Amino acid sequence: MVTGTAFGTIESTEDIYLEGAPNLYVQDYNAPEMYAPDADGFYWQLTGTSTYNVFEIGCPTEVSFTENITMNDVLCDNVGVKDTIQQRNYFEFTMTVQNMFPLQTLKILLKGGAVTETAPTQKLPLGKINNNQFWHLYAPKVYDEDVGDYVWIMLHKCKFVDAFTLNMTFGSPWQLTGIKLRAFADTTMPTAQQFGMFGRADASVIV
Amino acid sequence: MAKRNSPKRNYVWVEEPYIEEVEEVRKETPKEEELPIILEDDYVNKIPLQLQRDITLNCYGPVTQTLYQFEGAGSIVYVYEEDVEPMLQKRGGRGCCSSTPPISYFKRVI
Repeated sequence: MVTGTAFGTIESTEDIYLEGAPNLYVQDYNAPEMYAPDADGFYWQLTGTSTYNVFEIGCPTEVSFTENITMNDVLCDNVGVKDTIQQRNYFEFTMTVQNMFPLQTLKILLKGGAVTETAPTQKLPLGKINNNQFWHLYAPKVYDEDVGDYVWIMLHKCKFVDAFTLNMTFGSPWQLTGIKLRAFADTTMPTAQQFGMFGRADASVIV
Repeated sequence: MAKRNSPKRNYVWVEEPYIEEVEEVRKETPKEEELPIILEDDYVNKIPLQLQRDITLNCYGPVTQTLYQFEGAGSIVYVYEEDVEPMLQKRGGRGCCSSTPPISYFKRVI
């Protein structure tokens, strides 16, 4: 018996530590998810088609995943704050990107228009932002390369928001900073997964 | 009463021209199945290819040098047979961070 522990049924944590950023893939929101839904009722994974390509966001750095919440305290003048009501507004991936090509991927990050290609040139128009463009995001991270155990984050309805900054420093690769991918509630999804889902596949532990 | 010469009317006998009766020949309308099938020039000896990349592409056929214009991912254009195989070999970009190889620009439409 170990002192200083709780009693009863205890869910212990596993000594597995995840390191590094996941791979990031986006696809036009109008394309259905690959599992829509799967046998457990979850919507996730992307499958690219000729009409709806899956785009890889290459060489990201400083990747972080966060959420935005509105909180309102329940204040009682005789007691003080008794509760905090929370409303989830959105999730957000932020990152810095160092791969600029091809332009049809860069156009997503810069919120540009359709790319025209006439070999040997590609041209990307920069005009008004299309506010009707949404994306699916699929972010898998393999944490055991030997057996292929991995986790993934799936966000259903995302939009690239906020201003980017393209740093062009001498001796360094161009860096596209300020990239924010904001995930909103998708009302076409079941309520419990309106924003998305977090998954894990590990055949040695999840049996 | 003065005598007047009665005018003579000279009659000349003219034979009636012989008109040969010609049988009317009615052209027979060929049966539908015998009519040659004429295709629009746009589709003769052409094979549809679908663009797999999210771009507006102006591409010259490697063999015929015909200009083909694709309007975005999924668009289909009929391409001359001679250009099909070289165009199917066209791949874009250089592979990056993941193991995904560069995709082909086009695929055949079945």
